[in-house]
Amino acid sequence: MNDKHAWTTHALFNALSRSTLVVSNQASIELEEGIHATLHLTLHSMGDLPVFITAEGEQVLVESLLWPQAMVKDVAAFNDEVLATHKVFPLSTISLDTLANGERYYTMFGALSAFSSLDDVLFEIELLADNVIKAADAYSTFISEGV
Amino acid sequence: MAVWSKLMTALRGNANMLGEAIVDSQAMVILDQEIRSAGADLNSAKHALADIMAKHRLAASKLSELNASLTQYEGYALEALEKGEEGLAQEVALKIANIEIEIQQQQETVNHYAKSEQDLRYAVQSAEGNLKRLRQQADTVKATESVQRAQAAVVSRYAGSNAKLQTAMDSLERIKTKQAENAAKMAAAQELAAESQGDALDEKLRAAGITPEKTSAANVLARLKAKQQSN
Repeated sequence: MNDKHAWTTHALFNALSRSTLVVSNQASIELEEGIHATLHLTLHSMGDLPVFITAEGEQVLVESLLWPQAMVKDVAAFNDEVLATHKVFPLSTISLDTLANGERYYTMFGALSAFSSLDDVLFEIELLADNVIKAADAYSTFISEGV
Repeated sequence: MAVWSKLMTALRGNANMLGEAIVDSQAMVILDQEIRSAGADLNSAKHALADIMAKHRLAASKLSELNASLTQYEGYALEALEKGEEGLAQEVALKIANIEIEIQQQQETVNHYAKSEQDLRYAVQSAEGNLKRLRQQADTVKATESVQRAQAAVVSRYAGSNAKLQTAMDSLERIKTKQAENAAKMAAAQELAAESQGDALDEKLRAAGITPEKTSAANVLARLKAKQQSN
């Protein structure tokens, strides 16, 4: 396993840039440089949904922001609903993260091995996007309009 | 495992007050310590294994030496008996009995080392697994940090402007709008298709002479001739 090629964020950027997803303009991709580079994918076919991807060591993380906690009308009821219905979203996980500005956001993510094939990474992106949109639809009654 | 509860405290506890950077480094410090300690466990298990393997090999080769010398002395005893040297054969038999006792003891030692070696192999395997899991955890924490930093950068782009933060709800709205547009387009296209089908039917009817031709050279000429005659 260790002699196989592991993805780096830059290698993923190059591979994804050449993938049908990006070439056919279903999505556009940006490389956000930093100490740890991150890919910012905008899925045009999914209502311009932003998806963030990064490779670190043996892990590739694919993540999308759902909405700020401030948009949730009844946080306790929403959290309960998420836990009770989580299994309908196979392979994607919902988490509550605190960003640097102190605001809390619900995100959905999937993690896969850095030794996965490009097809696996693409599948993960599509699956996550699909799950995010389904979650947005399913949980929309808990969300207030506008922040 | 105490490390998970420490990690959770680091990820959650001070998040609101102190901001992400400090929380991240706390999580990484905890994981770093755990990885170091798992690495030390692995090293000591590996050393102990190497030590036991050497002792096991040594004990096994001593056992095979004893077995060889047993065969050798059994040969001598038979030879002595053949030559009628009863007294000598007796002495060799005593030697053989001693060797047999030694072989028995040595076999026990070899078995003991074999068992220890097996146990230590499991210990090394489990230490390796533990280290691998901790590294993956550290990778996940680092990847999460990177993604969160990138998301924070995107969020802060919206913070200063009037533009609204992009959420999954916006994407859903966009998809719904697009679907509605597509449905409308589809309906319009179907209508157009129906109309053009209607045109085709009229054309057939005209061609068959069932409905009158709209305008053609023939009926213009006919109309002109009729006009000429009436004059």
